[in-house]
Amino acid sequence: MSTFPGFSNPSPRTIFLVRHGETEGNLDDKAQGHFDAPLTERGRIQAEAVAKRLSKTKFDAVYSSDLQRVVDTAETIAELLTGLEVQTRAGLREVHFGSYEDLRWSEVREADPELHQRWTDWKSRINVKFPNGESPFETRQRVSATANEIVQNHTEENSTILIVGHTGSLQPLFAHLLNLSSTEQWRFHFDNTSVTTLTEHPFAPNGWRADLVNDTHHLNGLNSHG
Amino acid sequence: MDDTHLSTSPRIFNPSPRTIYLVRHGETEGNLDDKAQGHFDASLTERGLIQAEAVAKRLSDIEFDAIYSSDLTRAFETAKAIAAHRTKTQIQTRSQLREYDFGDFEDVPWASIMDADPELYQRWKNLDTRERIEFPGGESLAGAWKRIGEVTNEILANHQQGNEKILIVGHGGSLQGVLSHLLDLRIRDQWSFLFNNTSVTVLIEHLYTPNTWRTTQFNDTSHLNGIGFFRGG
Repeated sequence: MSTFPGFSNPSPRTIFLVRHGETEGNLDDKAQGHFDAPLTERGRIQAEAVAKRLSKTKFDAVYSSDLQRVVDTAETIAELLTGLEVQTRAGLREVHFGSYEDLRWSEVREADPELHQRWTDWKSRINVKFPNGESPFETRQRVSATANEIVQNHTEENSTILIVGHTGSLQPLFAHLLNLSSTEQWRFHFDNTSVTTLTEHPFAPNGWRADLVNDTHHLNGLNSHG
Repeated sequence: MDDTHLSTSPRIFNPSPRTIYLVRHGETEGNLDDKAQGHFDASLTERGLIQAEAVAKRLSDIEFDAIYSSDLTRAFETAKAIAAHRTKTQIQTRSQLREYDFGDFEDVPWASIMDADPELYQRWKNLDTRERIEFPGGESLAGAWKRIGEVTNEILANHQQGNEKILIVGHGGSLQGVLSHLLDLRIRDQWSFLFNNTSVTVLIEHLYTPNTWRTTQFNDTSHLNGIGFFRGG
């Protein structure tokens, strides 16, 4: 349905969310959180494709997780945007998988079948605490605090902000901006270098409205993996 | 983190997930004129027909097991364009997939409604009162939410073999309801999601959590690139 006119924001702010490109850990189905993997060759090509796609957008700021796979993706995008430096935030990191970092998920299952079971079921996932790491609930708290800081840094009309992150940080960030519960945050899937956009809208329940989620049409024609 | 890769899990509830595609109808004159258009039965514009052809071409490789559509002309014409690429799949119309019934305000510009009924406008502005709006001579938002939930459940119940691909063609308001029901969201959360004309949204069942859907694509209109100006809302 349409909406009452005069009630749409004439100069809304826009947030773009981009996930990092492919890593070896993505290919090997590993628990990769704070483990600092680089992009694969294909991941770099994906980053260049999304950089080209976003090169005509006038961003006011670029924020990124400080992990290498995300910084590399963000830097590739920023190279085509004149005068913008990537601002890193540790708060945008992936879930910290602690003792299970860089293990295959099949190995996590063997090491700790009970944890793995609670992790695979979305109804229990949010409170799964990784030994020497964190739970997605804790991740959501730090991601939300970082999101609030970023939004408050850009109060000017028409501000356009790019945030580059991980599945485990973009899911809670997206859900936080829309005020969706932590058990619903898993409902949104983010592929490598996918583009998601949210625009400020006064009719939106939490002030932000999703316009696009997980769009990867810039990868059409590239060899896709799995 | 990527659930599609957890293929070694011993707890796969559902090895044959279904896929649901949601497509909003193409452009109408009412969309252009910013009118309240619910059960008012407008046709697609010339551009709307071109948009419908574009989304039909884009989806032409997908073998749908079923195509459901609102019975209003603008949705049915869009569904027909998509079905024309297929020989065996018939369109099944459902009146519950219609847009809200705006009653006395059908085909009236939103700007005039604001003047004619400032109280309704105030209730629309406030999220808590919006959920309880009843359009004079039309339906309540709670009633629309209920019928859209019922048809969503009916469609899911009709297709339980696994691996089915189901297309639902509807309206901005009814697709917000279908999406929110599939994701177990609250009635108010539907207004966090905007569907543009002929946009494609894809939901796939989760492998490990029973009766749970996830969004792998939302409001994608990349098939319209190059066609020129179009507007949403």
